[in-house]
Amino acid sequence: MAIKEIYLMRLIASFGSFRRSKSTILLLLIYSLSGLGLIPLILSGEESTGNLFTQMILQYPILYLFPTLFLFYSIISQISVVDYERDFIFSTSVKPYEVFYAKTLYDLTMILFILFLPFIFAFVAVILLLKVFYIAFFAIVFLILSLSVILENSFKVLTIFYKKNLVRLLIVFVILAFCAPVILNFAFGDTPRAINLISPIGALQELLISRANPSEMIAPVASFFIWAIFSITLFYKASRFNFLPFAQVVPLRAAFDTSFRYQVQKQQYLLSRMNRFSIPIYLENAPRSKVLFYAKESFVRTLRFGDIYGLILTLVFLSLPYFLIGNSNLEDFTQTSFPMVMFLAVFFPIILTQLWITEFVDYFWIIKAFSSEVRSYIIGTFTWQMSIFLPLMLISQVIVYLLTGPISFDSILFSTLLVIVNSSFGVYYGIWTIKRKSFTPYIFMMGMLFFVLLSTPIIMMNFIGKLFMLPSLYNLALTIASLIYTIIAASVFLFLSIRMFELMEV
Amino acid sequence: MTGANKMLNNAFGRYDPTQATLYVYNLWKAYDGIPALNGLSLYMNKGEVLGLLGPNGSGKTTTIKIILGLLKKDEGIVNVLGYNIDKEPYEYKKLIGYVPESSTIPEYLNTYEFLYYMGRIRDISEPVLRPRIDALLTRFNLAEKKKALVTSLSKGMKQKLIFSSALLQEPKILFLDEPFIGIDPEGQFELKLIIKELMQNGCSVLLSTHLLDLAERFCDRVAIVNKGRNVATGNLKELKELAHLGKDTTLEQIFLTLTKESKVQVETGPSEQKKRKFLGFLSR
Repeated sequence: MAIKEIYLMRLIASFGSFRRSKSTILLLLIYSLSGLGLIPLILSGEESTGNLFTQMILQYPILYLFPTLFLFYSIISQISVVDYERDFIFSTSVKPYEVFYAKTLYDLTMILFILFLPFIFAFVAVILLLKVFYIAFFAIVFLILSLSVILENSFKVLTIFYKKNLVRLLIVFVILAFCAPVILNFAFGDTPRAINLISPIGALQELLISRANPSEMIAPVASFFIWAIFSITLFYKASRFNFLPFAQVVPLRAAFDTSFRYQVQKQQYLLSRMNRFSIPIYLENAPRSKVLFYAKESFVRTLRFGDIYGLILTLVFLSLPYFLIGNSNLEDFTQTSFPMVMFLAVFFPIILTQLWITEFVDYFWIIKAFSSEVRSYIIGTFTWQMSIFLPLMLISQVIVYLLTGPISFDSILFSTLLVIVNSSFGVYYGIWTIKRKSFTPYIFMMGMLFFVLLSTPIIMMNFIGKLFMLPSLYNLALTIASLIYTIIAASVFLFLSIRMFELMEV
Repeated sequence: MTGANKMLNNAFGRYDPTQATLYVYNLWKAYDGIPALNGLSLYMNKGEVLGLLGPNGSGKTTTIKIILGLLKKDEGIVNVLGYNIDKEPYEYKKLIGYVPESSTIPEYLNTYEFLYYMGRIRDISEPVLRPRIDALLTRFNLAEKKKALVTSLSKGMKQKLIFSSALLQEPKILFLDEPFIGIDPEGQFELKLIIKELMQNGCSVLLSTHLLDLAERFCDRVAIVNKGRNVATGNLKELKELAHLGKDTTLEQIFLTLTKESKVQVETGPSEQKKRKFLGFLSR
């Protein structure tokens, strides 16, 4: 049986990067510690917090998100094997089903590792304290993920051997069945609890809710059992096919590999995936101005790598709490709109700068070798960042407005200033990183620190007025001071970027 | 004769300033203290193919990158088409073409966009640029791939695309760094024809390669580079004389003889630091 060998080989290859770098271990440690906050909740008593969990987390659609994503992913992608497997393992007498089982087992391990790692300490605490509710909760998450991975891999293989559209239709039905409780609740308001039994996730939720009453547990168990039988049958059927000649060969994507080369590789992979969904905007109709030409070139890149979708998705996630809290008619909610916009203004430039570096690092030689001046490129890159952030901020403001009412003018003004400072620093940071050829996580963390530090004066000046309830004249003075700071900071960083670009070696 | 020309004449022997499109004098470069170029000097005439021949790590790519402004030199003089690259670092870039060793070109652009991008960077006006792109795409059999993303092209096609981008502004000097690697024989033949056409129009070509047979058949003169120094420069006949080898000698034998001698020289010659100081003083 080669299943164990193939599985272990993949694991070693994936986790090999841990041994390579200290920063990976550090990142892993931070990630695993991030769930420590759950422990006091677990310790505080089972019943009260248990009910809170039941009401808040289990009813919250987040549980439906991952299975739906997995299933949706099986529509848009095909089954893949890792390059070294194709070259060294498939030329041996290994059987396709062995590879299929090993791959599914590996996928499951990785998903559990990535999603459970932040909760590892909480999980240990739950086991040690024998908190039955939480043990059941973790078990449910585990079962949902297992079912999702099994279905995802099975559908990917079945798509190759049966009529594609027929299998895709089946996947859509399964997704709809998975999400039935959420969809029906959203459409018709309070629906009977029996609706939950359509979905395996709903069934497991029901199981958790009805844990005090064993007679109510039969229906959810039966529902989940039917789903499990269905998934295992599909999985068995899929494992009978020789999918290897049809599998897509991909480079091994190691978990938590923070190396820069890996990030570049990942972006290349994203290009091949995301370009299909790109909005048809072409560079060949670029504006005459060279600055705008460079800005448009960067914009086209952002679209084709799918960065823009990533940012929009982040915006949607950030807006989710507003949707939830907004409906609860909390007073003074308008006060909370500022942190969201501020978050965008501070962290989106970091994300976009990092993406710019990984996507463009290999092409700087073109600008260096052929451009008759570098000023246009630097200003163009800055303009591109602004052209992304300003509309996104406007959208976020509109979301806040629709959900909570009036928008604070201060929030728009100060966020715009933040974006200007951070975008100009982003350009400088990008060029500095490439000049130094330092792409380690330490440098990234340092960059993040500077992004936050440079934002502090503007944030402070905005809050001083509110905190001390200063008269409007003082507020005006603070606004002018922020404006001057922004102009000086942006000019200095753009000037330094031009100088540094000239000294850069590629 | 000006002081600079006198100096270059001493360095190069038969240097004619009216014919030279490029000269590099006493070029020094070190990476983190490890020397890559140790006082390399060479020149190239109008309409000439100068082969830059040397083993891996001899400094060929470093030389080209310094000329193009991609790397900073430690010392030395580089003059391209009459422009001193220290004093006028941008003007000459409109007049040169470059085909790099590895094909790293923006993979997210399509074929047409890439050429358009390269043209716009070089300040070629739109009415001139668009017909040129169409002509080059047809010439290099890439017209059908006009809308295909660069990432979807084969290695040979990418190399052709880079080649066509180097010809966009009808260059006066073409820098080719191992240009034929990854291209099929038919493609190589085509590219060679194009290079010959360019030469007839007065374009000079600096061809960096370690393929000896290519250099032997294709170059007017060859500069043999080893350990960051120009060991010998000349046509095949001159090199044979220099290496004290017979009539039927191949470039391979000359290359091996001269690089071996240079190795001995480096090992027994004066200390590099002293020599570097002395040459630095001369160039000032």
